[in-house]
Amino acid sequence: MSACADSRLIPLLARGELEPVEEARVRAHLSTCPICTDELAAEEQLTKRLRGEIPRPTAPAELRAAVEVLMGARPAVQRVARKTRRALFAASAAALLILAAFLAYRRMSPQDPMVIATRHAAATHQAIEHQRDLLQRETAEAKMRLQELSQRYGLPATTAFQGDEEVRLVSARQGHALGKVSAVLVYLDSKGRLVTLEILPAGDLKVPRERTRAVQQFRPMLTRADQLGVALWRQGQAFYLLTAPVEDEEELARLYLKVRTHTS
Amino acid sequence: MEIDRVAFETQALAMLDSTYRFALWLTRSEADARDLVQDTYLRALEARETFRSEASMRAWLARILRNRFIERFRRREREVPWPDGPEESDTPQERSDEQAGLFGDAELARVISLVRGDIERALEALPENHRTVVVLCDVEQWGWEEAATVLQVPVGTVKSRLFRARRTLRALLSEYAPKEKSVERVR
Repeated sequence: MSACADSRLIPLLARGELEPVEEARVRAHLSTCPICTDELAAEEQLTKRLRGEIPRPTAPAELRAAVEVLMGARPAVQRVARKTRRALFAASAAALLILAAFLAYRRMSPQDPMVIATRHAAATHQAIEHQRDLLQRETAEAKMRLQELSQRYGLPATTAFQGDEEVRLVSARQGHALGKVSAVLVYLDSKGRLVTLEILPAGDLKVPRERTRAVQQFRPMLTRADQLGVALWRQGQAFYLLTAPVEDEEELARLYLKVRTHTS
Repeated sequence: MEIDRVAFETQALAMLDSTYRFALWLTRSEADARDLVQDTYLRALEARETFRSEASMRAWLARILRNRFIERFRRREREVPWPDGPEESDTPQERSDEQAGLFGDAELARVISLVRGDIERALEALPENHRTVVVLCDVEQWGWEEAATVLQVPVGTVKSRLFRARRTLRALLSEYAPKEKSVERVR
């Protein structure tokens, strides 16, 4: 460390923090003090490196989509598209669903893990919907990806619903849900609608019984977020989020049953 | 002055990149950073009425984020060492492989640290409160007041912490330099 008393002012000089009079005095001192000159060069070099060499990544698109959903700021374009696809909805059924969703939403606080999980599921679904064009390229590798996710992270991806003649598996991806690595299985149904199934380690996550409903012998939570149906359930050590643009809760229940009974 | 909801959302979303980068620096894990950012925005929405329009949105969000980080990740302290040094320590503390992989796979973290630049490695080796001040004031080039808001300390403390952190960084960089030169020679 420098023995020069003025060296303590060098970091301030390098950052332009000195008063003009003090700055002039220190600069005059520099011409006679090699220690402080070196100190200033080292400080300036460090600043240059910190500003120039540290990567400054931008937020991933999926995160942006999720945060936009949280903030209620999804682009109107998507909503219009969804509205068009749902032109055949019965007005009364839609109104009832909106009312039911609104009432269910009001019962749940934003810190509620089920609310966070539901919003996350909807955001993930929408982010993938935005990238539909990429799905075809991922289909060939989907099974291999499931094995990888299963082996690497112990997720029950290979035993999850692998699709059938009505709902076709088109992609499998690694995701992130609630701070955990997840497997995201993407399907297309016979109407060309996107269906996503996200599987993550359950940890303490569990659907409170009072929020579930009976679907045959099972008790999933069936809810809605951003015009999507979301089914949530725990199965063994894994937690599942099934998301699809279904028309009503019964359709979601049927889809859930299909996926659930195929999941060992 | 209170801010209206639309202006609040617009300003908050505009700060997403810097909020995400700060989360990455705190957690050193992309998965944890994403989760922390979402959690932060949820909290921010709930606390919207406490935000004053004349305040810095990015500093306000970063403060929520850091508080959430401390609250959530300190729970893991019982299981693994907390990567924070003494509050105003002058001593550089090199983290072990286990600490480097605190929020992810230790081996992966070790490999990543080998291919990263020395400046990034040195920054990662700082205790959290020093790393944060360098990231905010030097890397992101925020003002003293903003950094003070995030850290919830006076501006004077931010300055002294930054100078200590920079001194540590320089020591670490000079420590790395001979080793890297010798690696070059072997190649």
